[in-house]
Parts: sequence; C-alpha cells; structure tokens
Amino acid sequence: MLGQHPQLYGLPELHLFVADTLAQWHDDHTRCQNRPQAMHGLVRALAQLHEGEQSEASVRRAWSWLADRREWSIARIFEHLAAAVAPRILVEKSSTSAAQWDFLIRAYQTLPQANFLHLTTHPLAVAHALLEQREAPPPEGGGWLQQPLKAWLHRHNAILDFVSVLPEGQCVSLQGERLLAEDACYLPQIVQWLGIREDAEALEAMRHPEQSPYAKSGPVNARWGDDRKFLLSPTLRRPELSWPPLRDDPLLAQIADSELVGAVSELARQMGYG
Amino acid sequence: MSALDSFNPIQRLVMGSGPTTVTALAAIRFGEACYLATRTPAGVGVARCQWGESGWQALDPIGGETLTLIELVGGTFLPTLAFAMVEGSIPRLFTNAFQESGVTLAWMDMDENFRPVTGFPQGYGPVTALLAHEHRLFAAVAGDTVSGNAPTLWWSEDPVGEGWRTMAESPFGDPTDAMISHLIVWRGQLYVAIANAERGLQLWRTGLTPEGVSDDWHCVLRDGAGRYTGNRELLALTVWDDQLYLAAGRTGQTVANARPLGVELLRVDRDDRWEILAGGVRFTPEGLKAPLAAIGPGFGDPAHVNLLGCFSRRDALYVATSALPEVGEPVRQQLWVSHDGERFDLLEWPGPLVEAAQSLLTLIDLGDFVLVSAGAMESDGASSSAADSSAAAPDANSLPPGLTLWRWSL
Repeated sequence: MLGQHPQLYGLPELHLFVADTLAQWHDDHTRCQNRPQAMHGLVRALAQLHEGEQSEASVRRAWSWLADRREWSIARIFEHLAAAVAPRILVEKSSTSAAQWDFLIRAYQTLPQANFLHLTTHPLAVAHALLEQREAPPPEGGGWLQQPLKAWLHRHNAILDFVSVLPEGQCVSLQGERLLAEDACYLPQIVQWLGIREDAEALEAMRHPEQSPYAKSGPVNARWGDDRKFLLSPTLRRPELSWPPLRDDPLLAQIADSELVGAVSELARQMGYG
Repeated sequence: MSALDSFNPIQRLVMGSGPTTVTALAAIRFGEACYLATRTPAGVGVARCQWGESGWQALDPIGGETLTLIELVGGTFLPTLAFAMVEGSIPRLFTNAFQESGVTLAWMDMDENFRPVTGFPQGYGPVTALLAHEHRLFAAVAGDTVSGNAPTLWWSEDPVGEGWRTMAESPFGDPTDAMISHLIVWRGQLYVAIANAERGLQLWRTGLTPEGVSDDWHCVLRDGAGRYTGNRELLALTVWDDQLYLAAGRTGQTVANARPLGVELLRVDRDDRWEILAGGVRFTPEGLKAPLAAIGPGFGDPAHVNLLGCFSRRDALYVATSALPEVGEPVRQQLWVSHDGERFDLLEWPGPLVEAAQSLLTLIDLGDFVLVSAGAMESDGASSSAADSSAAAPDANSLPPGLTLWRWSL
C-alpha cells in the first residue's frame, strides 16, 4: 500500500534483519528455520531491480549474485537496494522484523534515519482467522488460543520497548484495521509524517497495491516473497472495525490463564482495542 | 533554566516528620481560612487553618443521623477530593471529602463545621467532581453497577435544599469503567471530563441554560485524544489565555511499569480544535498531531508520570510534574512555564524547597499564593532548612504524618 506512493518503493518481504550478513541470513532461513521461501522476496527484488523483470532466468542470476556476496553486511545490501531505487525511498515490511527485540535493534542500526510505522492488529484477529480456517470446532478450554495471544503480546511488547528508546516521532503507531478501513483519513497523515507528496494522484496510487511488480506469485525458483493470501488475490481488504469490547469477547473468556488475558487486555487497550 | 522571582517569598506552614502517606490532596480558601482534604490509607481527613492563627483543626460532618457507607468506585478510579464555594448572600462551601464517613456531600457556611446535604439524591455512587458556577452547584456522581446507572451530573441553585436536577440521559458510558473527573465552565459551556479505563479519557461539553444544562452534548475529545488508555484520565483542566488546557495521563503507575506513560499537555480552542503541546506524535481522526512545543510525553522524560499542578498566574501557564522514584536517586520534579502556550521553559524551584529535598505532592493555586504540599523523606533531615521561620507555628497533629505545607506567595 505505502510502497505504491510515487516517492516510495515497496519491497517484498526481505526478512533481512534476522542476521548481520547475507551468509548468516541464508543460513538462518535454510538450516535454522527451514523456511527457504523467506528468501524469495530478496531475490525477486534483485531480479526486478537488476533486470526489470522476475523471470526464472533473472531470478537464477539474482541467486548467483547473492552467492558471490555472502560476506556483505545487511546494511550494504540495503545500500545497494536504495541506490537502485533512488530517489525513491525504500519501504520494508517484513513480518520477521518485529519478531524479536534484537531484530528491531538491527533494523535501527542498519537504517538509523528510517521512519518506523507500527501497524497494530487486534489481539484476537489471528485467533478469529484460525477459527475460520478450522473445519472442526475448536477444543474447549481455549488452550489453542494461548499461543497466538502470547505471540501477539511478545511481538508488540518488543516493538513498544524499541519505540520507547527512539526519538519522539520516529515511530508512530496506527491500527492496521483502521488504516485499511479509513485510508482517506490516514494515508494523508502518513505521507505528511514522512514529508512526501500529499496530492491526490500520489494518494490514489497508494490504494492500488495490485500495481506493484511484486503483487503476484514469482517464477518457480522464487514463488513467494509476500503474504500468500495477498499474492493469490492482490486487492485491498477492508476489515471489520466493530470488534466487541475485550471484556465481552467470548474467546478471551475461554482462556484460563488470567495473567495472560490481563496482559493482553492491558496492552490492547493502550492500542485502542478496548 | 531561570529563577522565578514572582514566586518569592516562600513560607513553611507546617513541617511534618516521618514519611508521609498522603495519596491525594485538595485545598480551598474560604473566608479567612484554608481548608485541606487529604487521603491516606487510613481514610480522608479534612482540616482547617485560620490565617494568623496556629495549628490545623480537624473537621467532621455533624448532623448526619443515618449514615450509610457508600461503595466507592471499584478498582480503577477513586473520586478526587473536591471543594466548591457557591457565592451568594451567604457563601457556602461544599465538599465530597466525607464520603467514607457516609456523607455523600457536605456543606458549611461561616459556622464551625460541615453538615450533610440531606437533600442530595440517593442511589448513586460517590460524588466524583464538584463545580460552583453563578450560584449553582454541579455535582458529578459515579455510576452504579447494581442499578446500571451511568455516571451523571446533578445541579441545584439551592444545593442545601431539595431542588436537585439531573440530565435527561447520560452519554458518558459504562458505569464500571467511567467516572466524571473534572468540571469547568468556559465560554458559556459546561465541560465534563470523563476518565475511562477501556477507551481513554473523553471531554464533553454542553450549553448552560436557565434551567441547568442543555441536553445537546458534544464530544470534544475521545479515546484519550488518540492515546487511548495512555491518557486514561484527565489530571488537570484549566482555562488560560482563552483556551482550555488539559493535562492528561494515567495515575497509579509504579516503577514496575515496563514503559512509563508520561504526562501529556493538550489544548482545546473555542472551535473544538485540539492540539498536543507536550506529548506523543500520533495519527488521529482529526489529522496528524505532533506536539507544538516539540516536547514528548512527561515533558521530554516519560518517567514523569505524576502531575503536581497545572495553573496560570498573571500572564503565564505553569505545569509541574514528578518522575517515578528511582532507588537511591534524588526525587526528580520539574516546573515548566509558558507565556504563549507553545514554548515551555524549565524553572528552578525556590531554594527552600530544594533544601528541604522532599517529594512534592501537589501545587494548588489558591489565588494570592500557591499551596505546595510535600512529603518528608525518610529521615526528614531538612527540618532545619532555610524556610521562613516566621511562618505559622507548625502543629501537624490534625494533618497526616509527614505532610509538609508551603505557602508560595506572589
């Protein structure tokens, strides 16, 4: 969405901040995490920026280019990408960037001048999505809910701890649901915060993420690189904004771990999900 | 940082000993006396000091035959201690400070003691805010979970009598999580601040009418001014330079809080436009808000979560804050001044206060002077400070232990 602004360049998910060098990045995604598809975003971006297309051949050459630069630091690869899209500004949105405090610190050390947009989600959004995907009714007791709630809590606590040490204004929080549902209100504010064009043409471009060269599946040797649901159907989704108050949510009421529920509720209310 | 000559001299009224346990404090001048209400874990006490005389006299309400203890607002919010003086041929002073004694609202004129307002409506929670305006007394009451009554407002032009009136319908939210915390009249409008534990503070206004207030309520601020429960409640509300200034934040924070939520200062103009003066940058339904004073929460230090005072004197607005205590570190408390509402300068505290090395509790504007309350440190070694020894002789018997009061004159 943001990356379609004429002065910005939206990258696929690079998942770079998990490591200090390209060699470590490769090892982390292959040996440690066993998720080689997490590397698809970077090779697609390199293929696109080096050759203007994401074909099987251009992606193969991007893999080779990376293999020749295993010692490169993450900062250096970002410098390379930034130079390739200049004067546009990179938009990096990897889901792993905020997974851990040290990933966020690495992001800051790599890009100390970056603006950080903290897009929040309702703590039960993931749980409701899981519920929709279940063919059988969930087991009673709410045990299955605890893991997504713990992950939500961990992630947002890490982000807020990170934000608390940044200069005021370098990071701003916004409900992701609200951005999607009320983009006419919030997109102008985001571009104002970033200090880039606020005209109607620029804002309209941001409403068309499907125009991104990465808004589709890649070639067979780099199929993914973004949210799969989006890649298969690249349109803006308008989420439901009418969440019930947390205290009335039947899912939360199922969870026996009152400490977890209390911590999630407290943080969620600070984000406006009261 | 500059010295503030206009606040001199400073006098010590009472110097207590031992650590203080005061958690809330209110004060007002009425007649020739100063009235002080203090809450401690032992309960609320009210005391009076006549100017020119020594000592503080404890006060209790008299004449309450059937005192039924009311249940205070549960959990999240405690009613603030409040005084209000209704002008008239006989000025009368009202307070909510005797609620723990079973007196929802008490009053006195120039006689010796408070007495219950027997005609005040029953069946509601405690009185949470008071406002006197043009011979009329407004009293906010907490909601009640049993009856389901929302927080609401009562008013009367004969507040010691039976003629209390209320709103047709309360727009102020759930009785369990909301409380009216502040009332003020500005430009013919009554402004009502709501503390809300789930969504953050709200500010409502409505017009004053000959009968009381209009039913046409308008919400000026909601969702903690975009900070949600980071601005769970209003801490102060004052008019200065024809604008409304609000200090907002969250009471009850301790050093155990991983991320302190510092006090914010906001401003509302006559057209309901609002701005952040000191606080966090954020996106809001009203547009991008960045602090006009270019100062973050807690006036640049998020650990400053306590508001000591927010008041105007002459042509300046003053805001005082204190930080969460750090073990082994001196108490950090700041006093800021602004002459235009957008640029704030840090001021030095007067020498006697610095030498006393106490934790400040409140700064309350009492007209000719500011009443400063402080809590003694562990070993009150500051009792030999350079404070003016001509002050009223200390007699803190009727005040909570350790409470120190200073009179900071213009």
